[in-house]
Amino acid sequence: MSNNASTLDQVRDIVLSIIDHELGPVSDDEELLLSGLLDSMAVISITNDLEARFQIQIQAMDITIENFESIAAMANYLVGQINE
Amino acid sequence: MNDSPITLTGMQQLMLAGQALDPESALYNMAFRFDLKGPLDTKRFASAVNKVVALNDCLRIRTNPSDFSAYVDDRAFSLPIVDAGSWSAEQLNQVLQTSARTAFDLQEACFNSTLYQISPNHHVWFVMKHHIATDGAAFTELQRQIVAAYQGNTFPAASLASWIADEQTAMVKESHSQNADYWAKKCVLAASEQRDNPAANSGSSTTLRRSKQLSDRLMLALDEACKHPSVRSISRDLSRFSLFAAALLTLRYRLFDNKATTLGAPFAKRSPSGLIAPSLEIGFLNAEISPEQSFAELAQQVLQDTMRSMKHISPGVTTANTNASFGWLLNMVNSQFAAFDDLECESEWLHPDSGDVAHVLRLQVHDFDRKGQLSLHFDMSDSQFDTHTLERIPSWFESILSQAASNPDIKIADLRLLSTRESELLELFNAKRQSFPAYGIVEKLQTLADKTPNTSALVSGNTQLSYQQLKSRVDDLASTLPGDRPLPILLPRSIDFVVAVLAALSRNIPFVPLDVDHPDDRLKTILDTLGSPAVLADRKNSERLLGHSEVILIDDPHAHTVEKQRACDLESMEAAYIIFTSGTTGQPKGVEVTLHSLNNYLHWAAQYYCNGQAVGMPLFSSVAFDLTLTSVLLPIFTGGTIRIYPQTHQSSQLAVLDVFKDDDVDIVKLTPSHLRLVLQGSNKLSATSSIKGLILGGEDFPRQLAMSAQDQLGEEVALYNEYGPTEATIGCMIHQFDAGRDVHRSVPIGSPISNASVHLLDSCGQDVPVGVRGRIHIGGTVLAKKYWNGRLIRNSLYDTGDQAIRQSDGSLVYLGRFDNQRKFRGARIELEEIETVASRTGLVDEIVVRIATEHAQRQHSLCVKCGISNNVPGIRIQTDGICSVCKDFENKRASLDPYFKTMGELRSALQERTSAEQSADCLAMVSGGKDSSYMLCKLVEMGFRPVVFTLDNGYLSEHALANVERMCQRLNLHWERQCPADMNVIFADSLRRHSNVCNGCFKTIYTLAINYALAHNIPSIITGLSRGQLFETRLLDMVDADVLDEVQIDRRVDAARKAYHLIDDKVSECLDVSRVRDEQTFKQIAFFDFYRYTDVVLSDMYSFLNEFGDWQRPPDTGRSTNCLINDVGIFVHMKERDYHNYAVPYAWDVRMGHKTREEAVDELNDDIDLIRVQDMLDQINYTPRETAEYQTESLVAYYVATGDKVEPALRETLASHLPDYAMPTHFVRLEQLPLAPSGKLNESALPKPSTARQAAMQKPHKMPVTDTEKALAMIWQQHFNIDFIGLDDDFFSLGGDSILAVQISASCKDNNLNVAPTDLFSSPTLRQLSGLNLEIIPLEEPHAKPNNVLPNTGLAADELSDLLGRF
Repeated sequence: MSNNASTLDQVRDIVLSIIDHELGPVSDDEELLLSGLLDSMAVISITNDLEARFQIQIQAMDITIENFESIAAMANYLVGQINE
Repeated sequence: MNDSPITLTGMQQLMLAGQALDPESALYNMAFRFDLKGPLDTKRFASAVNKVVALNDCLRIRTNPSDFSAYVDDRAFSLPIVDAGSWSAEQLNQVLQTSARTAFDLQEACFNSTLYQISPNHHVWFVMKHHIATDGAAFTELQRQIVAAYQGNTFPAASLASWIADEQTAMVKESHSQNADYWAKKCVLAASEQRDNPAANSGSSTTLRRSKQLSDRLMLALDEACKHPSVRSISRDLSRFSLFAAALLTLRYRLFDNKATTLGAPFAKRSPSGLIAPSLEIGFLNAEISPEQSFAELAQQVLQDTMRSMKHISPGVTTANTNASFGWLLNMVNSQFAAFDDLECESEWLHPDSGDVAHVLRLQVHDFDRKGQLSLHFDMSDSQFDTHTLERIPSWFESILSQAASNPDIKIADLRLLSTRESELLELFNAKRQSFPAYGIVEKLQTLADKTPNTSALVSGNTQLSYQQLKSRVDDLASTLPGDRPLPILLPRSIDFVVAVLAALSRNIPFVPLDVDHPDDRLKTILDTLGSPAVLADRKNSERLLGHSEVILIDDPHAHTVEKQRACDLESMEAAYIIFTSGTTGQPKGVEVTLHSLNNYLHWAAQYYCNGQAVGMPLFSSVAFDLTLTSVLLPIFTGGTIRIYPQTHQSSQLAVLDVFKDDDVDIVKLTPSHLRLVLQGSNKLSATSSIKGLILGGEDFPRQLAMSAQDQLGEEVALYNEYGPTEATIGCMIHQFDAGRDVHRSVPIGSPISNASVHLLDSCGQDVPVGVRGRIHIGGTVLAKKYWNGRLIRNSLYDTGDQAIRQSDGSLVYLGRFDNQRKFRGARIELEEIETVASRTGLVDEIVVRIATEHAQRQHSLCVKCGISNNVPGIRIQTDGICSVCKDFENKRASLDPYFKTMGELRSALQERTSAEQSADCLAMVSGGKDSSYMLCKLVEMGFRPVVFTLDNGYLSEHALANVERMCQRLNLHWERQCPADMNVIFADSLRRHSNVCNGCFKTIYTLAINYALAHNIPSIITGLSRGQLFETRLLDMVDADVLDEVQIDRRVDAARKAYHLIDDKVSECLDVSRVRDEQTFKQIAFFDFYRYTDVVLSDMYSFLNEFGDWQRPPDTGRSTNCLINDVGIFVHMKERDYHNYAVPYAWDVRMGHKTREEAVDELNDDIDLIRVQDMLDQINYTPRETAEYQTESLVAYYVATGDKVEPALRETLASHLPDYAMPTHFVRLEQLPLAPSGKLNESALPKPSTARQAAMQKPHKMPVTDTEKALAMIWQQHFNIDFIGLDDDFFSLGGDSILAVQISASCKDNNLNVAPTDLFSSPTLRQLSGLNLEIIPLEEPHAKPNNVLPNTGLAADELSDLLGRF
């Protein structure tokens, strides 16, 4: 679990560095896509940052709502990828 | 003005360059009109605008076009307020539209705005920016800031310079080079992108905008479709983009049959965050469409490629290459304008009527005014679309989008382009069902024999046959015919032939007309196919069938009783006739046409051509050709007369001349090629002529030919264009030529005849709209039932393989065979399209363009000045013995002088870049040969300390290496000698690509040297390319293109250098090329070509080196080089390309005065050690392509023209209208286009570009001696366009044919020599011809001027990588 927790922390770091802070705090489960907190270009920069941080390749087909709708979803997806 | 210049981003530089090419056009203007309704405080508004401009320096940039830098203008902006209270709305529109269309002077400003006061409660705010300062998102940000400033809010200042600095920082990141690599690779894939309309003028920047707003219903449907699993994505914008992109790609595919295609799209580099400067890069998507896939699948493919593209977007990835990779672009703007709280604000995007030349269509989608509805603007290049298409593209797009949105799983092929109304209109063009009387030709003959028994039915020479006589002969013969199999008729054109046809028809026996002129093999193949039935023949031809077929003799049908034959397919016996066509495979294919179809044609033709009246027609064309059946049957069907022109052995084509000479018929049916022949002679028709109409058929009928026919034969002659493949019974479409109305290159093929239905379909089998190319499909009574082999024809629409477009009146215009779409050097070209462009120039009377395949082996001669051989592509030796390049160079030489510099200039340029921290002043590429060794000595002499860089490719002469080593020791320089492991792989690849080893080797040297220089902080690289090589690799194209200005040359060389390193090959695979693909590298390192700065002749160079002492000429290599493997390059190049790869640089050395012609020729003739070459070829594992296999493909334009010196003007005009790859390399002037026996263009008789000349050169000539011989020779030379013709050269092997015979005969008569066309067939050499009794009146002076100009061998455009040479 600690492994997952640290993944979650790192994902949160990356996401929060991209989200406009004036909009207030963002929780791990908060919906980011439909709410407009992240636009598609922002998601792409997040994937690029995640790739660099975790040394993995994120396929274009994996960039889906399910995998990127919240900080928690991203962390979950990454754990799956890293464990593969 | 602020002093410190700002270097613009790559994207901005590209736009600046585009604008510089076309400074008058408002290519990159982005202009808006805002209507502000309500009380506006104009002062507060003006100060808000002024303040935002003051805070954003990117709105105040002024550029310096010479070095792409920009300055910030410190002068304050003051918004002009114009009182437009008295203006009409129209006036204001005019003013705004004019402003939007006016190009910025970028040296002055890139932003412009005005406020127009209409009334206290209505203001119009005009604001315009150049794209170097904005994009859609930045525009909304600008407006947002102005609104906020008006409301009293303030912002921090934004600096363009710091933004650009951020961009630059991003570009040196590792991720940038990965991204650049992604796009470079994608560009290579896209290079094979098909073009929509290759012959369209690509040079126009004029665009037209057509707009459309999507309905609420469609918006809702789109929202639903965005949830489809295939396109559902992280944002609705992305899903929407995929749907729009897929719809646009589908439209393009359906209009242009473009299956593999690209679509440009702007991508934001980052989320917009208060930035007014452009934050876009333009990338593109690759897509493959198949008609069977679903729309959702295509959209998914688009979505995935979009995601991949977005992942690789970073500052600086947009390059000239990416921009050149697409023609259509989809721009979906996601940002919106802010609301002016208490004011009503409506925006309008003003179109500048211009756009980037490379963009064929831009679809801009936005909802700037937050209406929840998307506005679509289609900006279309007016040169790429005809008006009809252009006007309908928006509704076709909407049609596709709405079908796809409501059913994303629909198949691409099932998407309808046309509205119901459009489809109904198309149906109207076909509604011509008409019943016709039940009687046919047989019944008609009976009637005529009863009613007009004495009227003459057939005339042949002095023989006449009345209807009564005809009927009785037909009955006689009919009674003897065996009725169980089709009846082949092997008779020359004669009364007998017509009798035979009618006899077969009256017995319901399918007849098979065969041409006695056909070779035995073809006849036998057809007879075998038919199951060897008995043949109806005359005595003469029956001998040809001895031992092969049973024969029924026409003049004695009872002499032989045909045994009962094996019955054939009963259905086949229902045919009226069976005609064998050539078939594309070369196997004759029998088409069975029923009596019902034939009667339909005859009833229609009798009505259409002669209003039911008796018509006289000549029978002069090949009877095996279904076109001729009109001449055989229509006169009888109408009670008229057939005038028969018997077949002679010499040339069956010439009979048509007699038809017009005799002028004894009403209507002539002939091919366009026949008509050309007729117009060659002095035939004239007048109001009193019998001939009233010509029916043209069998091949494309060019408008120009129709025009000439009317000029020469008189306008009273009706010209009918009848179209119809054999499968559609003689003719199924008809058009009467009207010079005023018919403006296409070809006379239209018109509209369907009675009971024919003609559809123009795309590759999905759907009707194409008016104005769009499609394939002709035929249905209805006119269709033949089946082929002899059993394949059905009438069970579905018959696909003719012919292409046409429909005009708005419904008539079709033929556009050529579908097969004529050819791939040529990777690009899809359409020969007809090139012909269209050429004939539009008005310079040629006739033109056909073909792809010719030729062996590269040629006779060659050398230029008397530079020694270059004329077998080098593009080199023509002119009559004075001087080559075309020498001539051209002479004129341009002086203008190139400024390009060359002095040693002093090299010294200061190098010194300027030198600083104390550097490990060396420069890097010198030295191989130990004379050029580089001389260079090294001179550099040291000037006081520099270069690093000496040598690529040891494994084959360098040991003596050369020893030279370098000795020199480095003596001069105390560091010698960097690198030996990459993969040289053999690179050599083999270079041989494959360029047939030489040098290209691969040079690229390796550059790559390694650049990497070394970067690693050691060396600022300059010096090459030892000789002046000849400089010309070959840098200047040749510039001289050709007339780019003679040194700044421009340098800029182009730089651009080419960057592009050169982007090409993927074994060098890029084997070496680290990340740095040479990085633009930054070329900012850090400067390249100097030493021999640009010094001019030294060969002998001086040798004596200098001899004096220097530590240099020896390598004795183990040829003089061209000091590298052993170079011989392999020379050997392979000679073998594969038939000329020496040093021929070009050496010729330049001579032109520059560095070598004498003799020295150059001598060096090129150095012997090559073949055994050693073979050893090396084995080592690198390369097998040269055999010369016999090595064929060059070239585009050849064969043309007929009346003017003098047509070719240069033609080349020039075509060059400005055609993309490079569609430009013919050879232009062959013919007196006439050759004809095949069918009367159609004889493709195989088109001479190879060099054939004519070769033929005349191949044997020792016998000089003409007598006056007659000389006069004849002169005439022949003129007509064959050959300098010299010997006494024994053969008329036919020179390319002579019946047309030329007619012309030569005419010229002879002009020169008082009595030569008949047929004399040339019987006496085909000058010697034989002059031996005839020609009544000659000796010539005083030659009447005809000998034409000394050699046929142009043309310029062969090499592949891109070849052109780029070595950098």
